[in-house]
Amino acid sequence: MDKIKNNKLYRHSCEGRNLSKKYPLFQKIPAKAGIMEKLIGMTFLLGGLLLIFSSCSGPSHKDHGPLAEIEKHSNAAIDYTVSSAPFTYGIEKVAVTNSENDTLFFTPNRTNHILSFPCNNCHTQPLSKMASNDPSGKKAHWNFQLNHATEEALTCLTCHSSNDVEYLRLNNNKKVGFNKSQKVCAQCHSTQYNDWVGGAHGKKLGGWAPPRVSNTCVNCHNPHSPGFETRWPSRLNTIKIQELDPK
Amino acid sequence: MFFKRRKKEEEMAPQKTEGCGSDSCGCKQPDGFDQVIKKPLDRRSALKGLTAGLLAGTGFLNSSCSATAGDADKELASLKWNEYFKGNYQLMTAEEKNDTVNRLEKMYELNNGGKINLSDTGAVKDVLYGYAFNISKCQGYMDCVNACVEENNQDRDSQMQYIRIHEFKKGQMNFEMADDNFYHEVPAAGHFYMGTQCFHCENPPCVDVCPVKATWKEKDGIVVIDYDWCIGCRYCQAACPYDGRRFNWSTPHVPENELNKDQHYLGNRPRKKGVMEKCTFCIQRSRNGENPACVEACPTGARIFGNLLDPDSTIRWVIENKKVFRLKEDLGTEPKFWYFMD
Repeated sequence: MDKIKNNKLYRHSCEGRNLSKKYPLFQKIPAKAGIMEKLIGMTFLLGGLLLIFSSCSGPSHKDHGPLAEIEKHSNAAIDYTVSSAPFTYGIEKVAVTNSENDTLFFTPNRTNHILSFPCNNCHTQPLSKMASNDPSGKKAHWNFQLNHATEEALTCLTCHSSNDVEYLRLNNNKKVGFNKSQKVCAQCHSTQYNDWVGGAHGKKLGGWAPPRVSNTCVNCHNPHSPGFETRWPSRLNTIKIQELDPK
Repeated sequence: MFFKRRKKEEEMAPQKTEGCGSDSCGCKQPDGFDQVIKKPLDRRSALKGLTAGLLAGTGFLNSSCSATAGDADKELASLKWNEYFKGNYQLMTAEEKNDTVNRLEKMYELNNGGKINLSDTGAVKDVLYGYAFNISKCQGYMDCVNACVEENNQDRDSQMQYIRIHEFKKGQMNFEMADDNFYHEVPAAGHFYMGTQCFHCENPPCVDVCPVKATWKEKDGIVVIDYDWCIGCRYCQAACPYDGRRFNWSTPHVPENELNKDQHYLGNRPRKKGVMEKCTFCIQRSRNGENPACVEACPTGARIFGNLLDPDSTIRWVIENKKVFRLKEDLGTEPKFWYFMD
């Protein structure tokens, strides 16, 4: 700021009250100058003054716009009169918690939607005893095609536990329920996980008002083949096509 | 019609209210009716008004005083009469808003037989709506466009759409080069997708240019249009740098069974020929806490909507933690619509 103040231009515009003493340019108009010359001189002076005022007190972009509105507003939690609860009424919810066990938001219940859950409907014996040695027979879970990372990085037993099929497993062999499956995904996809917890990744259900309900990873991504497939767009504006190409 | 509009426009200048200024007590602010009918007139404008009134009145008289017209016709004519002389929505008292909502509901019932649920819900306190769009996630499926058309009762004949999904070749983001009418399997290799709609600018140029104050920014930041006040001059469409506004060149047509009957006065209620319309962040949904239809329909989660003033909202997290940008920021329009990437 000091640098700007010492700048000759700045002083000229904002502090130069007694212009004629400081700058001989303003004395060049002779005392007996004609009316026209005086007028021209005055016009320049007025114009200069106008410039000074507009540049010194003009509106700034800083105090305008949504970001300024956010800054002006207190950071206190808002006491809402609306809620998104009516719009997520039919969804059974599971709380997502942080390390201090505070509820952050909710995800839809998963286990109610897995067709063959609980697993012990079939898995009554340890895996080793259930495995068939007959190569001609159809394998259990034959419909699962694992299309997720490479075989070196990921196999069935990376996420599923052979000892306790009712749970998923983490890299440290700890168990995780199917309703908290995001913890398994987060081991590799930590960036996406952080975005999801914050709200940049993953679809929000119901409403924008609290309580927040977000889809969890497996609501959108098939964990065995997580990529999205190509498909046809759900509509085409034929009128616009006609307007662009009347033939 | 034109005279009426002109006269009302003159009346739009801020008025000094006599009395206490409170809605609850007995003294009433002049409404649209008082502004027009009880206005002191000079000879010239009195003649003008008389001619316009005669033209309008003939139709009214024909149905309201005719011996052959039924009760329903008479009621409809009287409703139309009152609708004709209502004021600008911004100047209406709560009572007047309620009256016009009731009239419009009744008129729909008399005209179409069914019932609509029209609301005039105001802005939620401490709310400023904002929107974020993830261009890494959008795949060009167009489900948002379908949902928007169904939710907001847009004209089916002209296939009016508020949302445009632009297909860009990777390596540039030039809207002139974008394909807005793609129809092939998406996402196409080597392309990315970006949606635009009304950005609900904090400094909306469309509002500045409206000669009759038929469009304005609400307290919660939503830029709305009073469809009964719009004269269809399309200045706003020309002023919008983002192609956010649409015009009804013909009477909009929505099949009765497809009409969304949950409506808002400033939102998706049926429009007429010759008025502007645009995205309202689904005002009929968002003011109840619900997500706009496009957010609900998007299968990729690319669309994020919420309250900018809430430090715990997801939209705030996106703005504060992702690298976001807005379109044509140098214009100073301050759109409340951010783009970001993973």
